Amino acid sequence: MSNTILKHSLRFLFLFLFQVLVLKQVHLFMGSFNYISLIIYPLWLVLLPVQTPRWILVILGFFSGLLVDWFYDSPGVHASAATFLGFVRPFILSYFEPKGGYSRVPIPSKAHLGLNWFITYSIISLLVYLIFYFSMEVFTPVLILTILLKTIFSFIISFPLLLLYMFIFDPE
Amino acid sequence: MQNLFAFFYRYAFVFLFLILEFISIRLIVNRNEAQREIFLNSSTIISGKLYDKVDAVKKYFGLRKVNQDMSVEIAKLRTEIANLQIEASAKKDSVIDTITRQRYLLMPAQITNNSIEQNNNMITINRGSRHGVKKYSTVIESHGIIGFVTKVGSIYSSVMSILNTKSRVSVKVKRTNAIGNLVWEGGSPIIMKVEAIPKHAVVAEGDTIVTTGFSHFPMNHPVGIVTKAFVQPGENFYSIHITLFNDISRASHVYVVDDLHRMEIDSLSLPQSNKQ
Repeated sequence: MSNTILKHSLRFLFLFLFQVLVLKQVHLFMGSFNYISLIIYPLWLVLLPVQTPRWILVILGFFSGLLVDWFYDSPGVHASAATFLGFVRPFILSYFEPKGGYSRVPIPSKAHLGLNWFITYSIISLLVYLIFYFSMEVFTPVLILTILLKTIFSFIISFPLLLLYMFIFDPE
Repeated sequence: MQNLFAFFYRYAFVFLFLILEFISIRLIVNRNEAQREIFLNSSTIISGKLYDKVDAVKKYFGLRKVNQDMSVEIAKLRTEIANLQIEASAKKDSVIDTITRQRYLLMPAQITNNSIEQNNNMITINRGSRHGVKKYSTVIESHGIIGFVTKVGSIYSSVMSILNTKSRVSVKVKRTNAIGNLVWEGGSPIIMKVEAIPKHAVVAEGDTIVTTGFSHFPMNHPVGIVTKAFVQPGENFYSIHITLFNDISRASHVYVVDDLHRMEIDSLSLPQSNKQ
């Protein structure tokens, strides 16, 4: 049990530091084309144990988002998106529940449920996060096009990074 | 009761989620400049739309007032059009038919600067050489005279007011044709003196004084009315006080008079001594 907590804490620490120290410094825009943000730290929420109580997911989402906000100088923006992801993760999981259920699955990762399953699951999770995040960042439905463009471009760049992480570390 | 607790326990994460989202959004609005601007403005956008609707309804009730204002505005504009036509005709007026039939050319002008409190008062009018004003043109009002043009600019001209101690205007008593000079000795801007009417002439209080035309003012233009006429013992001339018909201190719409015969008259009367 304590081993599990330690593992997830270390993953969070790594993803968090990678996010705020490396990805935040990468500015992929030319002129007014400012639609790309690299975001992969929500992966640690995605990879939390299947049996994690929902309220813990929500709380962990909130505080991890708040920590990232601290470095992004945007109080509440990441926190709200991560809270939302923590809230909807159980619904995504139950929607993509495999035939045998999750009884023998500790974490929803590529190693346990296969690449195809994981890709679908992580695409949905990342998109949920990005849409919510950019909605909060832009903060007006008037600029819905900007929200969608930011989501799409950020997703296109961020998702391969997320997969790369999965192939390098392949968490079990 | 137990069911209620069970319900709360089961859905605790939903409440937790809502509370944390609420906190997040509070943070966003309170701590982020851009989002706060949008948040504050979106509330004004919503209320602004409502006000627009109310305004649109209110406008129907205000139509009568709007119409009244409009007609006042139209009247004002029409007046301005009329005035503009006068000015336009003033420019066209420079077409002279025949020199023998027309002696005076009148051009409307407005006084832009005036004074009455000095001894040598000057007036500025908004007509200049561009409009055809010449030096020594005279300036009159519909019921009275104003002065002589002494300096001509391109758009404005300077006029020596008759309320100027250097001013001399040839006038006459309308009833008896007795000729004299109109002078001003300071003081009241509506009281002037007529000099050089010999004591054998007939002048009485209440006589009307008009111009002679010698000073290039239009002939028989009204000037004022005699209020006092007497001969000082030992004098050969009358002392005549007159009250002007016009109040120069309040004059604004005037006419610049160009005497088309001036050249001929002056060439006959003045330089003879020189030629000899």
